[in-house]
Amino acid sequence: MSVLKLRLKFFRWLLLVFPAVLSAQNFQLSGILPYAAEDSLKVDFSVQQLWEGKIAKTLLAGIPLDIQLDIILLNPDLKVISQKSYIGEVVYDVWEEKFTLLNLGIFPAHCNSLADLRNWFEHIERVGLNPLETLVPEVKYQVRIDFSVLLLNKKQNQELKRWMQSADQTEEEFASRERSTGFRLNINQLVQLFFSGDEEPEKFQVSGSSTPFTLTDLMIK
Amino acid sequence: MLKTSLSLNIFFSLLFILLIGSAVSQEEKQTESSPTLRVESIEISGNSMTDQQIILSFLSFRSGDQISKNQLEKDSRRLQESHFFKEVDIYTQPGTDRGQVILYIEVKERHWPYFQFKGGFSELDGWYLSPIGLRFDNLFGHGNYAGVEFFIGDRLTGLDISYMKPDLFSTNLNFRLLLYTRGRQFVHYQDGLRYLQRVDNSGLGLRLNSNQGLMKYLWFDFVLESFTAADHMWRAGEKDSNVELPAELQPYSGQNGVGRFVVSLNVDTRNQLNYPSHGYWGSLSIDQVRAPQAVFDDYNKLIFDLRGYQEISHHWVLAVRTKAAWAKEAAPFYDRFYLGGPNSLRGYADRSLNPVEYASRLIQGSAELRFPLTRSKYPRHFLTGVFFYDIGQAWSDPDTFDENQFHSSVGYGLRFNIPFIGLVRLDFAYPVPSYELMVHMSLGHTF
Repeated sequence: MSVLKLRLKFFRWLLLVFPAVLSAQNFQLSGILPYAAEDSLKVDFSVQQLWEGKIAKTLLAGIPLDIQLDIILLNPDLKVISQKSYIGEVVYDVWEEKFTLLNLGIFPAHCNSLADLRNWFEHIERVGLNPLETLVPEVKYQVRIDFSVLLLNKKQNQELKRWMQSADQTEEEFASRERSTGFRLNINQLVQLFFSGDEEPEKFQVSGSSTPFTLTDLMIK
Repeated sequence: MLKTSLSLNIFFSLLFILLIGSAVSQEEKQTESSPTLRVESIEISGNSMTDQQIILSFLSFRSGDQISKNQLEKDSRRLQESHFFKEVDIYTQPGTDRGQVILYIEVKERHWPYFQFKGGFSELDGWYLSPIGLRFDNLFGHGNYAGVEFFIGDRLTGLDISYMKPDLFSTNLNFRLLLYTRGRQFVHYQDGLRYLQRVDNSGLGLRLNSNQGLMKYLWFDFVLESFTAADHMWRAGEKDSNVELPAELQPYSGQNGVGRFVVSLNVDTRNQLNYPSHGYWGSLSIDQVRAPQAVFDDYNKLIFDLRGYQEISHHWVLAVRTKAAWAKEAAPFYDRFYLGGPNSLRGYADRSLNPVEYASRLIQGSAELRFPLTRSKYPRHFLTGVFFYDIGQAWSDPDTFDENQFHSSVGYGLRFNIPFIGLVRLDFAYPVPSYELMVHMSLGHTF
């Protein structure tokens, strides 16, 4: 058996024994708890281990992350009764050493550390879903939560921005008789950019559901 | 005569000191006003053949230094635009402690030369293209620039072969060698008609400058070149209509060889290239030309160009420019100054405001009020509006200067920020007092 085949065998064995070794991201949803409060159906839940590995590295490199959070109320046939969506962005400003959460109304707009950010996503509370009066007693409902993070490829983010927003302009270097202005293009890079195909942004997604409940089962907080 | 020369020397020495002093203090001010972080370490990867020092030479800081966002962006851009690598990825991660940052530079080496397409507009040469240039930058990982470029244009054909060695003998000095040959068509006006005269120019140029210390403001050039001016000219658009040169130009026809030593001081504190809203660009260049193989005597030439930018309110920017130039009477017409055209005095045709023998003295000024017309992606927004005022005079005989003979124009313009090309400029200029509209199209800001 060649060395290469041995290596492949060992690699497959590693995959079977330690599947987590290859998993870039292990975040999960847990503790989805619907309850009644202030005449509304509300839900608490927790996004665990989100700010780890590649997601944290990308965020801390100053690249914005797109976040989508869908909280869905389902009837026994799993048809959508109502849905609340938050589509926003998390950005880390390396220079101010500050995290900014845009359009994610259930979180504070800024935070100063990754530990705070982790803490907020691990304790998401009192997200309002439906007025209680709209729920039919004795019908078994379920709350499903879909959570996704979109990582823009660093190459897409930087190279395209550079090419599209700022041309490689040439200027006169010092005082001269003639003012000369122009541009230059690296043809190889341009060809590569157009023919390398669109690299899909990486998407990490997780879903979770509460246990089925009726209006009368609901805990009142 | 001696007294005038001494006064000029003192004046320009003071100007040198003032420009450098002001640039240094402005750089310090910029660093103070923006947040800074300490570089904990710089991690470079992917450079299988290029030495780390070559990559580090693009950065103005090292591990342990405090850096600002602007400084990092400027240096990153310099590394990316070097085209030394197929891909460059620069990003940061927070350091061990608060206030610290780790810089990551990931590169992908290139193993083949690359092709370059180049284009532009110069007042001397008109529109030009370098449809195919071959670049060998950092091909073997030694950090050298080398390339061959062929130019064609309105009034230009040419070939450049260049080689540049940064950090020569580990001295932080950049050394550049340029071999060039160009065929230009010089514009002359006679009795209101436009004529063209071919002037070939080829030579060898050596340049020394640096990216660091005081030397980053100074450039030294030594050039050996020859000019061959045709003994006739022709009506523009009628290549076969040869006519005799005017008496002022006749002495310069034929081949003349010169040696030129140029010292230039350059200061650039502009906050950005695309839409500067703060800072200034200043340059003073002094040529000393020795002409043992020429029909004319040795001469000196001096050009001073200063441009300032200040945001007035909500991205409205006032930009002003002043340019003054002087050459000794012995200077041939192809090394003298001209006035009129989209980059100097708008509202007039290219070089239509100088004497037939071209000018040995020039003074010009411009003021522009610039304002973004689209908001998205400021300062790299798509459309900018401009109101401008230009004024200037070019003359030769000191006695012919007349303070009442300044030419001026007013007008408005649009700047389109086009991907891959940059700013495309359209100016609608009205010369004073005739106010006959002249439209100019060019690239980049006027100044």
